[in-house]
Amino acid sequence: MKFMSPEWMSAVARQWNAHEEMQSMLKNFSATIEYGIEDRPDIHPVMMFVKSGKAIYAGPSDGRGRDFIISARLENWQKLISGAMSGKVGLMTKRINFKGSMMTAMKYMTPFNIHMSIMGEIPADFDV
Amino acid sequence: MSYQFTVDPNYSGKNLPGWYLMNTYLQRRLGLPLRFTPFSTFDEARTAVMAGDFDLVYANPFDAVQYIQRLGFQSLAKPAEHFDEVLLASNADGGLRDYAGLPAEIRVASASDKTLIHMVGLFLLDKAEIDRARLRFEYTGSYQGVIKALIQGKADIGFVFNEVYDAASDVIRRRLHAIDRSDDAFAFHSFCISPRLSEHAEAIRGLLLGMQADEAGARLLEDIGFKGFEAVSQEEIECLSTLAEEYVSGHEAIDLASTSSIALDASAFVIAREDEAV
Repeated sequence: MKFMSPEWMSAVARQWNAHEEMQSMLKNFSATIEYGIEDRPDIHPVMMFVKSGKAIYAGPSDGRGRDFIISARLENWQKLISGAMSGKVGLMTKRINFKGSMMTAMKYMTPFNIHMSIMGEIPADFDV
Repeated sequence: MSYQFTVDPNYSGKNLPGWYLMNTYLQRRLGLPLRFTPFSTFDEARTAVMAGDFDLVYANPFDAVQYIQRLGFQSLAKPAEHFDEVLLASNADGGLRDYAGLPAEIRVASASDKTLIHMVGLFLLDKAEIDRARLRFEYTGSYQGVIKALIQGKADIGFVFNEVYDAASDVIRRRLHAIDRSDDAFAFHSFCISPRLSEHAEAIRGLLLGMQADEAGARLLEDIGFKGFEAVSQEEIECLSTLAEEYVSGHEAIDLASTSSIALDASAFVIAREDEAV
């Protein structure tokens, strides 16, 4: 599956929903999150809806309001989901372009890092 | 004319002689007249700096943002490999060992609600699903005051800055029990300078960053409890600024249901990206 394709994002969401720790840590969290590749504007962004910690939608971004927008250059996405760069370092160094509540990001930094690690568990073809 | 130097009150309360030595070290190495004045509470320190009386401040994260935005300060250096964290503490002799043991109405000692430590302390309680309506705050002005309130039984729990706890004597630490501790590694104190010192910015940054390589500097670092200092990036300050602005503006009170077009049903009432009740 191509990285950041709707199919790949769906696989990420399924893995997310199978992760008990994520469900527990995010049970009071609901949001719409869009993901994009900064240096590939030709690739349509994907989106995930999380309701009470459960991913209820993963697929193409449809232009709805987004609570969080996370984008990064392809090489930084690779570092992020392989664990070579933590979510916190990505945010603090602006290698992740993050739009949304920074307070919420800080509060949920641990699940955010787990989310990145889940992304890393889904095989992806980075030749996009 | 002397330049004025102060530090976040919890530091001067922790190791006052060390900070006087730091003042002497900076003064001699920089060849600048520098006068150190400590304060015992956050409000006193913040008021004095905001009045324009200080040129060099070792400031906590939210104060640093204020000084940068309102007074044109620059943040130069922060402790290396070290971040501000919160210890949620109780009185070790009081029998309160965990979240489950908290009373219906919880007396919370906090140094100041204008600090990142207070914000992260609230996060810890949120994560443990402690309803904020149960909290009754007592603001003590300093972390030493928080510890005192806990030991005297005037508070059930307190938000204690990790460095203050770690540097406390064994006697004090034995009287406290850590219910929880944050591990965010996100925010930091930093040395900030006023525009009056801006022409010396590079010299000050260079001196601070090189302290561990200098014999006297290394001794002093040990005295005041740091491994060394490293440069602060513009991006890090932007992150802290965003965080501080959201906190000050009461961002958490935003009703997301009215600001987001997510197709949530009526039962999914959302506050600040979190459901009020599930």
